[in-house]
Amino acid sequence: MNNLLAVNGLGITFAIVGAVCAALFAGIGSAKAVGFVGEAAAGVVSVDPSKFSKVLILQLLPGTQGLYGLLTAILLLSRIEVIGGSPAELTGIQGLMFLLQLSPWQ
Amino acid sequence: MAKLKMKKIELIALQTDSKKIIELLQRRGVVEVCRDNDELPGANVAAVINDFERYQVTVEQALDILEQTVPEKVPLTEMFGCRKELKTDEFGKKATELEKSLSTAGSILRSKRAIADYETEISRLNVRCDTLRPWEAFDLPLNFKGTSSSSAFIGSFPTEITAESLESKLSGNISAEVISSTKGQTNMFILCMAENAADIGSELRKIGFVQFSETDKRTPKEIISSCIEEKKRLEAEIEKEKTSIISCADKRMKLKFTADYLQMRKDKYEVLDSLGFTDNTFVLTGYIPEKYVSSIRNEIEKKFTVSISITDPAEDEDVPVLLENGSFSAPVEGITKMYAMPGKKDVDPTPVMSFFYYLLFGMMLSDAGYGLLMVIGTTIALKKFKLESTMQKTLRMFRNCGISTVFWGAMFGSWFGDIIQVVAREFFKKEIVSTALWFQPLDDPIKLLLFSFGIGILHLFLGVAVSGKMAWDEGRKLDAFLDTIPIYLLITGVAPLAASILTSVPAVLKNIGTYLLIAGLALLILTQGRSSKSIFGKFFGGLYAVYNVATGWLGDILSYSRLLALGLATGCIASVINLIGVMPQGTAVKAIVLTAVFIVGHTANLAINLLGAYVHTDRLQFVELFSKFYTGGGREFSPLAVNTKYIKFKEENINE
Repeated sequence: MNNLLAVNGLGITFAIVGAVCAALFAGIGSAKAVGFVGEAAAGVVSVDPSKFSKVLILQLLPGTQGLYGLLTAILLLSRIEVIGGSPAELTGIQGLMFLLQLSPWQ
Repeated sequence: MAKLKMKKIELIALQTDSKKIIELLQRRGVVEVCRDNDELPGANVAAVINDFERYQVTVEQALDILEQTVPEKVPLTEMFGCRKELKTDEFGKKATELEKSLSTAGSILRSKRAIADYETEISRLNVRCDTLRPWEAFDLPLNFKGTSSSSAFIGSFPTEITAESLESKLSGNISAEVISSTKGQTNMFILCMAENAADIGSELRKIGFVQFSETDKRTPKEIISSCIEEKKRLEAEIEKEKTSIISCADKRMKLKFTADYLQMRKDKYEVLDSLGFTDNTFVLTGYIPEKYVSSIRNEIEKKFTVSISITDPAEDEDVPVLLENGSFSAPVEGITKMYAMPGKKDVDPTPVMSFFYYLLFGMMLSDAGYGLLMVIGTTIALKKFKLESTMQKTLRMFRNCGISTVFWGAMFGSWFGDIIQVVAREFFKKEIVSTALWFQPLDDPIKLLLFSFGIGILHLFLGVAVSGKMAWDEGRKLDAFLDTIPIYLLITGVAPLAASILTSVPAVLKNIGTYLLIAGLALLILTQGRSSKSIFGKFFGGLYAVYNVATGWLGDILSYSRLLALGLATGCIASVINLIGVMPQGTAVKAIVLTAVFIVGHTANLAINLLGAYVHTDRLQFVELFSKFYTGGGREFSPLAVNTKYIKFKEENINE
């Protein structure tokens, strides 16, 4: 129990780390995918420039997908009222739950 | 509005008029010539086209060289790749100077080649100087072999070695002298008696001596100085060639003109290639937008002896597509083209998406300050600069997006983030709570999220409506209803139920929603399997459709949450920038720092979020909206036209 009590002060920290994870890993995933698609797309377009539009769509999908991570982060930050100026009082357990919910290894 | 109706034109005229008629069509730029009469032979002009291409390459290369040697000073107003205007009679005059321009281009290319030759020669001389440099102190020619009674060895060891240690190493009597030495190499002059030469030579080779091979009879010093003189001479030659290139700079305009002239001639001859010829006449077939038919017909019939027949293109023909929209939608045409030109069955999606394009863009950028900058910037550019029509359209699009951005920024109370509140608080000690006309997204993100979904549903419903209209126009009137109404019912029904998870929804709405949902589901299950024969097929087809609609629409609608995310991102970053600006103490320092941070920070934020808003708006249009009704796959109308890079004709082109 002592350990849990020590963790209690860290509630808000855990939650913010969760928000960071959500935005960070979604962003990394998006960036990597853009890279993959870009490599393939460059090849396709150099052979057949008229395929540009098709390839553009493939490029737009991963390129715009990482935003969901940012969205999740924003929603969490507004849920724990960090956006708005006065962070909510969270227990360590609550914070950990936010962290686990938002991290990619859930 | 939308796709222009295309007509097929068939023109028969006398062969003697062929070039004049094609020239006229080229000036007007409204006919796309196609080759589809294989029975008649074409003109054999491949050789001529080849010539034009060769000349064109020469001129373009010459222009490149000119640009490298004497970069052209371009006035700011022509920065955006505007072409010079030229009247038709000036064109005729200038066309006679072709020979002169070609010889100018030729001499530029020759000068460039000479410069390249001189440069290789100079680098060769440099290498030679470098190898001789260690021998500079040696005052005999390097091919010195000895006198009648003595033999000389001139060369180097791959190690550092002194004259004494070498002399003691060898059995015979020698005299060695170190000319120069570094860590990795010792250059030496070794003298011995003529009769011992063979033995000494083999001994030297054993310990790694390499003889210097040189045929020149002069001493190293003399060779080096002559190399340097030669280099100076070559450098002077290069300067001379460069000045001769620079002296051609005033002919740049003529060269550009020639490049364009050759391009036009080439295009013309390529068209000649696709005509059908009889002994005295020729046949031209092509596509022409209906609205230009009468003017072209009148003009050609007035000037030449021709027979023109205009028909509707056949069903299976690959008819090119030309878009025409009103001033509100036309700027977004570029976005449509980026995706794909509408195919045969498609409608032009431009007017469908234009309103939402501006709306979504505005919501994503959602800062009135940035919007104002966009509006002011694009308006100035449109007024001051001479621009090509595609560039104009793009700028108009961003201007309209800017207006929408100002609107949404004002609604959400974001002017360069919260600069108004910050300045009021820090410098005037007044608290302004909000400048929002509607509400501040940060106060209630869920409200904005739901609003975004609402906008998304409307956007998608519009797409479904268009697909319904297309089905109706094709005569599939039942499909037009059955593929749209159940979806409308279902989504409208689900919306209040789903919203109730996030916020409180009146019970009445929830009840209505439930009934609509049930009606929609029932309709979907009953109707979507209608193409199947068996009763089971119908039922499971219906279930499958429910599954499809549920997953597809869920993803599509959730995708509109990006409206919230991007809008908040812009606002948050902007506020942080303002916050950094007012960190220092003291009013004067604060004002200065704030100004600097404001300019740098907001420029960066605007750039990033402009790009973001543009990409994400495109995505919503392409992925979410277009998948509802649009396939694309059409071919853009590419008329025979004056396809020039540098000059532009006044009046002439009606399709511009």
